[in-house]
Amino acid sequence: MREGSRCGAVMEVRVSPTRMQLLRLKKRLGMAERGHKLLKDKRDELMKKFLDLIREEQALRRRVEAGLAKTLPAFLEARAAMSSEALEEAFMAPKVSCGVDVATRIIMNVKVPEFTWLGEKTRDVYPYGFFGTSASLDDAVAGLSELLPVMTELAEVEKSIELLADEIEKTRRRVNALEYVLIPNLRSTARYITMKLDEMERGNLTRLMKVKDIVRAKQA
Amino acid sequence: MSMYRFAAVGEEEAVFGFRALGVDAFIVKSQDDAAQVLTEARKGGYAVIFVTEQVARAVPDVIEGLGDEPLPAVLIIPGVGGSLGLASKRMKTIVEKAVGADILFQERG
Repeated sequence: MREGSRCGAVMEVRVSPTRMQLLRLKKRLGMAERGHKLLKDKRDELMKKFLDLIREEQALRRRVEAGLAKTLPAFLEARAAMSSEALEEAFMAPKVSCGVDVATRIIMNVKVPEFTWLGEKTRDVYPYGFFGTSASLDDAVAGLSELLPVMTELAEVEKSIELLADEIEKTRRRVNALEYVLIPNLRSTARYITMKLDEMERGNLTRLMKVKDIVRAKQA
Repeated sequence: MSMYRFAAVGEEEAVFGFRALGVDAFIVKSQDDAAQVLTEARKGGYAVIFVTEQVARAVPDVIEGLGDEPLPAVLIIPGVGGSLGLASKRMKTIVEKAVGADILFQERG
């Protein structure tokens, strides 16, 4: 109590201690509390989405890293087995045109990209004839073509995590500012005004009693 | 419906294979090239850019700078030498920044 009032003396919003100000302060306090609750809900919901995404990211990341750890050496092996001209020729005209469609999705007012994989899911992904190319190249290309959609998904999830993280940080700051600065300040100022008003009330009462005493003494 | 393409940025032996699937490969020859090649790839209007860990390690600030924009999404992939755990580390810092504590990655370090 004492600490609060002392803090109020230092940090209070400077106002004249009137009933009008008290009313106004109470209105502001109510608003701040409502805002605080809303922002807190927003933060919690963001956090929930965020944690879901993190879990998804971890699973996808493991799949991608394991897949690439198999695919990349296969490419190297193929390159070692083939002449660079043959390899160049083999890659000349990619058969599958891979790409993504980009849309935006809104999570709690945060715009995140949404990628839709647009590659055909055919078995025949090899952009070359089988003559003159090594078997490990086939494995590598097949492996990578399976991996690309997963990588797209991972990219989407990671991007969303990044964007959500910013929003969470901002919301968290606002919640804290309301909870630890604005609301306590308003409360202590309101208390300061109430006490001041009470004090004035008591002062008035004493004065009246005193006056009455004097009047009575004169009458007697 | 518009189609965006992919790009892969990295050392030659790590990214040449992506060309087989129609991904544009940008080859980084030395660490000093990395920033320039990455900027070039960025101008290409790709939706997703795959960047190998070796390149990402050379230019962390460029990668971070891309984080604020919705496109392109940068995906760090392990290079030929296997994973260095750079991507997980990056996620970890992001989570720490957002949550204010390391909540998920303790077990993985």
